[in-house]
Amino acid sequence: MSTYLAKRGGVMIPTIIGIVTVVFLMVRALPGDPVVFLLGDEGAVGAEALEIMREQLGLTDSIPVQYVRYVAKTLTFDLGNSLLSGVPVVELLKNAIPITLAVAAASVVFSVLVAVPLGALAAYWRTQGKDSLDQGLTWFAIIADALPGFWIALVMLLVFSLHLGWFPVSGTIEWTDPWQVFTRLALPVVVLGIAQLASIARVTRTAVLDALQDDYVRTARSLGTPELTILFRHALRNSMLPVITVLGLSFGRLLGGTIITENVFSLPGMGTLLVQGISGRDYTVAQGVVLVYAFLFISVNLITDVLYTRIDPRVKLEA
Amino acid sequence: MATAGIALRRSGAWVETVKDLRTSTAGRFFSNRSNQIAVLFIGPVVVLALIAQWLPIQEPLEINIVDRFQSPSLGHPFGTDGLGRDLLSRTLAGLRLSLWIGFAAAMIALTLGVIIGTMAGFMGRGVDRAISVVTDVMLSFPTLLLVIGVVAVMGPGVTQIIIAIAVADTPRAIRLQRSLAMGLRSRPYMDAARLASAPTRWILVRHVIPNTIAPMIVVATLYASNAIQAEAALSFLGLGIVPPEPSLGNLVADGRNYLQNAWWISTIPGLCIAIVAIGLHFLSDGVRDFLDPRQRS
Amino acid sequence: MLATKFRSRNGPPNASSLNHGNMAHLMQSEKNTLLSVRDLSVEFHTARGVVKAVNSVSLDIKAGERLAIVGESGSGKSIMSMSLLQLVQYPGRITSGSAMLEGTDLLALKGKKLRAVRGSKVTMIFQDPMTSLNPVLRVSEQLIAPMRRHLHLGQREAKERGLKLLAQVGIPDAEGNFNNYPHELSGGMRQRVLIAMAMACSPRLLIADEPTTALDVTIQAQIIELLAKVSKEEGSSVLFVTHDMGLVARFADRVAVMYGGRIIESGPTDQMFENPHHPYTRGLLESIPSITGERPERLSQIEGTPPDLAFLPKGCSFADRCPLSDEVCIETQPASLTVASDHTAACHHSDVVASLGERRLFDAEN
Repeated sequence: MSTYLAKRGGVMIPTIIGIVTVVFLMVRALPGDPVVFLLGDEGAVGAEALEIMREQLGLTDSIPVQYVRYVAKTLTFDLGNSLLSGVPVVELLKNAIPITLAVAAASVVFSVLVAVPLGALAAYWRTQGKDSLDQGLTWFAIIADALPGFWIALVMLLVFSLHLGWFPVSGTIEWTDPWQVFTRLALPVVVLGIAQLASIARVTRTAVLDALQDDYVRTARSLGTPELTILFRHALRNSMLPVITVLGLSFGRLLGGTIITENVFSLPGMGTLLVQGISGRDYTVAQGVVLVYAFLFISVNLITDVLYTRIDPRVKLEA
Repeated sequence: MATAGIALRRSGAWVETVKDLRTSTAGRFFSNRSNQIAVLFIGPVVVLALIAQWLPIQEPLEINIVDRFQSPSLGHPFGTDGLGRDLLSRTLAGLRLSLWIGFAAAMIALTLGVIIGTMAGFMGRGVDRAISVVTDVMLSFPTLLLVIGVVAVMGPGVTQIIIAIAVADTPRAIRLQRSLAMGLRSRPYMDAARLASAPTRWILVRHVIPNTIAPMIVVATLYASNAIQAEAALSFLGLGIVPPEPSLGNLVADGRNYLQNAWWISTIPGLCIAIVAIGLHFLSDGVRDFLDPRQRS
Repeated sequence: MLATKFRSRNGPPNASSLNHGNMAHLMQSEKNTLLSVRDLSVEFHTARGVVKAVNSVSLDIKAGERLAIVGESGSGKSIMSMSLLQLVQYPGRITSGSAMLEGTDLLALKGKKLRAVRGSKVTMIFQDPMTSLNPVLRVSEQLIAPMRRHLHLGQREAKERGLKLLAQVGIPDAEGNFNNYPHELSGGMRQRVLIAMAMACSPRLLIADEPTTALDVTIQAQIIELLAKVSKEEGSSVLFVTHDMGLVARFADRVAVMYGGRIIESGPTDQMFENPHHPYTRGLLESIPSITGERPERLSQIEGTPPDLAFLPKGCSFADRCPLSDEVCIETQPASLTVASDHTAACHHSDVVASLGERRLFDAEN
């Protein structure tokens, strides 16, 4: 297992280098002079002030030198300081990452817990000649895909927070108070979950439908296995590979979704940090957040691969 | 219609026959249930968006403070916003913009995808490797993040958004085209063409692109839908189309502050996005059936 | 007289009343009859129409007996065997019939009672051992589950018995293979595991649906030997579904031949091979190569294809392929008649078939 991880990590190295390079170049490609943007133009603050600022930010060196320095700093988890507040970006991320991770992870759990049984039942009933749940799921999937996430978020906010008053609209997150965390995160988690529900349910349904036609299901049935055991222990377990694949593939969409939901529900996560960074031209912040997002994304892809082997013993670990 | 066609063909009129062929192609397209649903959803929206400027409604940017926060009525079917601007007019303007962005971004991604993907499939290992590394890196960013990144670099504006979305979709298009092209390499007619020492460019244009274009068009329909969603998300976050120019995303964002008192400002443009997206979903199914009946599920 | 001579099985409903004429005989046979299937029909409702896969089949299996069901693909033999455990899935449906096993009708059981019979009193092994075991569960988990369920054994007892069973079915290194995943075993080994699972609760009846078709020829013989051995040890009856007449000859006490969803001939194996009374059975026998070399090495073949079960003909379903068919065959379906002791055939011309002797009924190949 560990050699496999090492190998896979090795394969990821060019990608990681690519990501760091892209993030570095992204900021160099910004139109205009960030220093001018920060301080105002020469007429306002004088050329000397601009030059000092440039020196401080290391912008006077050549691009390759800047690049090497950037990579070296990134490797030591130094992502610079916020241009606006002066706070180290790592500090900002330390507060933001747990929120984004919590929302994302909880939404995955929520959507899997709802979608997998639904998809499995839809498939099972279909083999019994009843396909109303199946058709319902198909339409739900189409509509859930079509409705923009921010719209669903706003409508939920309108109904559950503003009208019914069940959940607070804003407020910081105190990790020591589980109830407060729950009420603050419940709506965002559900909103993010809905987007994934549809695709997970559909994939589960198709995979379980296939599995239910398999011979071992007939064997299990011939040995007196209860139908629920057949569905959840035999058929569903054999259907988890496509489900995991979809979870992995839709993780990018999920991260995109967190940017929007955090924004709507005023959660101080990475998405909020990113939007603030870009709107405020605080490029060290934006850079840092983008980097973390990309790393999260490729780590999840790796986790997905490892999960395969946990679920299907036939999958051999080969890098 | 079929009987009429046979009668016309029997009459021997060549022109009539050609016309008949055309109508039967259109007939085949619209006899597909997915396409019918698609037309039902997108048709009215597209028509309204295109003829909006000739409709007897207020201009999208015209401010009329007296009429602010009007709930939907005959005079303002979608209501008015905080500045008394007509939301039907603004929504239609936003829709037109969305449709343009969707179309343009999908076309760019499709074109680049076909060209670069074919190159990756046919220009040797080195080129393929290089292209793969670049697409892999691009695909290791979540899509929305990539779009936001490009917009952050280039600044807001319609063209910038189109480019940003196209940049995010292109790696996927390249991968698909590459795998489709690779799949064709071993086909007998490709061997035949190579044996007849046909020039590579001719093989690509004559054989590869025509045989891969159908699935590419199907995914392009989905790219258009994604582009519309992406623009809306960007503008909603304040990183896309800048007010006062209306876009479906910034209309929804604008209504956020008045959710409790003027629900219509946010909800109606949001529903419009969903209607277009549902329409495009069925269109992509329908186009797939139309272009390649063998793929029908 | 007629009543005893013509004991009808597949005939019209009033035929069954004829049986009551000979109570003594019935009591006698009832005593050691384990399973008694009457008038079993299975239909599939498809877009093409109603496919009649099994048409009012009746058969008996005595305790400890090995009955082979023979027929080509599409004859309904697999569906028939699966329907005994109600394993036919939607859109298939059992439309009539009963299957009495020790006083309970297998076809009328539902829910818990049905599951209590499946895997304990009646078990089944299937055609393809490669796919019949769940790939994501260890052999041990799959082997132990039915014992825990039916015999209410604890984990340790079940494991002990499981290991014993694996050794009994000839799996080397039972301890090691116990915790393997199915994909780590060969096809033959997997079929042995499936046999162990089926024998775990000492079933009264084991249904084996082409258990050797998917295996190498060399393994086939071993598996057949094993089936014979374990069924004898446990005193189980075996319903053996196959298309291989050679296996039938080696293994079965009695044979029932299925065609077009019906049993067209049944009887003791020796009699069936010596003196078939149905042209289809005759055709099957003429098409096997003889090892003894008594017959010339020319094999017959039956021209044509089996009937479409969605559009069964009015008369005999073999009529269009049969060299003996005439108007009667096309017009009326032959009833199943007793042609010798414990031997029935459903043919209007069974006497002609029986009198063929060494002559061939079907043309040889080439």
